[in-house]
Amino acid sequence: MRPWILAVVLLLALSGAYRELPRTIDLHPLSRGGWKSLRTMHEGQATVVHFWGMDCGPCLAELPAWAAFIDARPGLKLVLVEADPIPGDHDSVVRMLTKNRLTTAENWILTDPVDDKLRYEIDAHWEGETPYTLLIARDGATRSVSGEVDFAMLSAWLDTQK
Amino acid sequence: MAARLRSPVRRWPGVLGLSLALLGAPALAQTPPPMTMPHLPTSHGAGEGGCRDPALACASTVTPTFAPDGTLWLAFDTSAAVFVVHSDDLGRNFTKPVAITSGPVRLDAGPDARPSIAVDRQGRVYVAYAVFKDDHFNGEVFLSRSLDGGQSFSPPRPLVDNTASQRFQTLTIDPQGGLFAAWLDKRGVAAAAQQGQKYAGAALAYSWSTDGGATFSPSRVAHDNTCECCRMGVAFPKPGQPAILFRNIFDGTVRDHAVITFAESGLPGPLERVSDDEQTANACPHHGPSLAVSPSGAYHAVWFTKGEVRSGLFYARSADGGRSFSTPLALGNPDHNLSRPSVMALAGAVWVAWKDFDGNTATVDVIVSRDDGMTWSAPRMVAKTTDASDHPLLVTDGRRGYLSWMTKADGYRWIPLGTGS
Repeated sequence: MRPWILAVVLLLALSGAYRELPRTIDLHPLSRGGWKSLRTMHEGQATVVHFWGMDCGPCLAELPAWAAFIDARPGLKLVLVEADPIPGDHDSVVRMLTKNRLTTAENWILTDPVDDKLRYEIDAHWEGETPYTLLIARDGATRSVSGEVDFAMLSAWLDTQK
Repeated sequence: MAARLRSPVRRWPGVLGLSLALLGAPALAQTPPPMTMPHLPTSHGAGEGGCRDPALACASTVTPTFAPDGTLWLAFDTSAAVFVVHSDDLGRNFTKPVAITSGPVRLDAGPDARPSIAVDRQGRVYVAYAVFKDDHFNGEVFLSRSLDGGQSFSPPRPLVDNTASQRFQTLTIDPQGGLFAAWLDKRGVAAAAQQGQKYAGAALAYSWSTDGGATFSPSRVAHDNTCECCRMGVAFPKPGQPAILFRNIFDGTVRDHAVITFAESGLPGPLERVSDDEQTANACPHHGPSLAVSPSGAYHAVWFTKGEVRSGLFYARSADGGRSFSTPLALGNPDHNLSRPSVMALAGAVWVAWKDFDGNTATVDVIVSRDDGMTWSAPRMVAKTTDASDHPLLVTDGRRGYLSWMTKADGYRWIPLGTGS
C-alpha cells in the first residue's frame, strides 16, 4: 500500500481513539505563596473569587447557581478555588466542575492544607469557612462574603465596576 | 534488491512522523495533563511536610486526657496513623508511641477532626478516630481499647451499628463509670432522599457502653439537622446525664449554638439555644465549640461565630443546667485572626484559651475566672509559634490546668498553667 494511504488510515484510526480520551480542564494548583500571583494576574479587573469545597454541602448545592450566573454575565472574570481543608482529589474536582458546567471559569485547586498562614495570605479574616467569596474591585479594594452569595447583590456590584 | 528494500524503509519514519504530528498538534495545544493528587491526605494540623515518623514530634493533631489516677494520656495522629503515649510525671516524660492503627489509613483530616481518647477508673484506655471511606467525605468511626494499661490496643473495630457516614466522634467517661460516645451521623440523609426530600446537616447521635467498651447500646439520634462539619463539646453536669454543646441549624439556615442535656430518664432533654448570633451564612465553618462544667454545676461555653449580630469568639455561662445562658462575652483582639476557643473548669477556677494569629505569629492567649465565670482576668499570652499549629487544648486533672498545643515550628508544647486560684 502506498505510504500516504497508510498515513491517512493511521490518522483516521487513531483520531477515533483520540476522541475517546477523557477531556481535561485547566485546574491550576494554588499553594502557599501563590495568592499574590493570582491577584497580580487579575490586577485592574473586577474579579470575583469564589472558594468552594467538595467537603461542603452548601457549596455543592450552590454550584449550579454559579453556572447560571456565568451564563447571565458573559465577560465575567470568575475565579473558582476548590478549597477543602485537606487538598482535594483532583479527578473528583474536575468531575464536579464538569457536571456543574463550570469548566469555562478560571479554576484553581488549593494544594496545601488550609492552615493559619494560607488563610491569612488570602484574607486575614477568613476562618476557612466555605462557601466564601471575595469581590475584588478594579482598584484592588476587596470585600468578602461568608456563606452563600446573594447573586442580585453580586450583579449590582459588578455593574458598579463597569 | 537492496535499493528497492531501502526506499520503503526510508519513507515509513516520515509517514509515521506526519501522522503523529497531525494527531499530536491538538494535544500540544491543550494544557499539560493535570498533576495527580496523592490519595493519602497530607497532615492537617501541625506536622505537615517531611516529618512522617511515628513520633510525637511529627504529630498532626494531639489530644490530651487525664486518667483518674493522674496519668496524662495523649492520642496523636501523623499523616495516616494514630498513636498513644502516656506520662506518669505530668508531661515531663512520655512513653514510646503505641500504634492504634496497623498499616496506613485514610484519616479524616479535616480541621475540626481529631482522634478521641478517654481513660476510666479501671485504667481502661479508649481511642476512637474517623476515616474517610470514599471520595465523598463519608466517614466511619473506629474504636480501639487497651486493657493492659496502654501496652497494647485491640484491633480497631467500627463503633457504630449503622453504615451511614459518621464523623467528629467524642468519647467521655461518665462519673458513674460508663463510656459515652457521640458523633455526627448522616443516617437521616438517605431516609429523607427516599421521601424525595433533602436533609440539612447531620444528626447528633450517641451510644453508651457499660462493660468497658466490649459492647455498646444501639445508637440513637439526639437531634437532627446539626452542622455537619463542626466538632461538639461534651461534659457531665451530673452522673449519667451528659450535656452536649454543638453548632445547630435553626430553621434550616441559622448555624447558631445549642445545648442538649440528658434527663434522668437517660433520654436527651430539650434543645436550648445558647445565643442569637444569627449566623445565617450557609457555610461550613469547620469550627466547633468547647464546653466545661464546674463543680457548682455551672456550664461554661465557648464558640466561634460569624453571625450578623456578633462575630468572633465568645463565652457564655449557664447557672440553670443549660436552660438559659448569659449575654455572650467577646474574646480576644478582633483585629487579628481568632480561632479555636477551649475551656476547662478546675476546683477553683475556669480557664479559657484561644489562638490569635496576626499573619506571622500564632499565640495562645488565656483568661481565668476565680468566681465561676462571672468575671475574668485580662488576657495573657502563654505560648507562641510561627507557622502552622493544631488547636490549643486546655486539659485538667481537676486540681491543676494545662495547655496542650502541637506546633509545626516548635514541636509539642505542654504548658502547666497552675490552679488559677
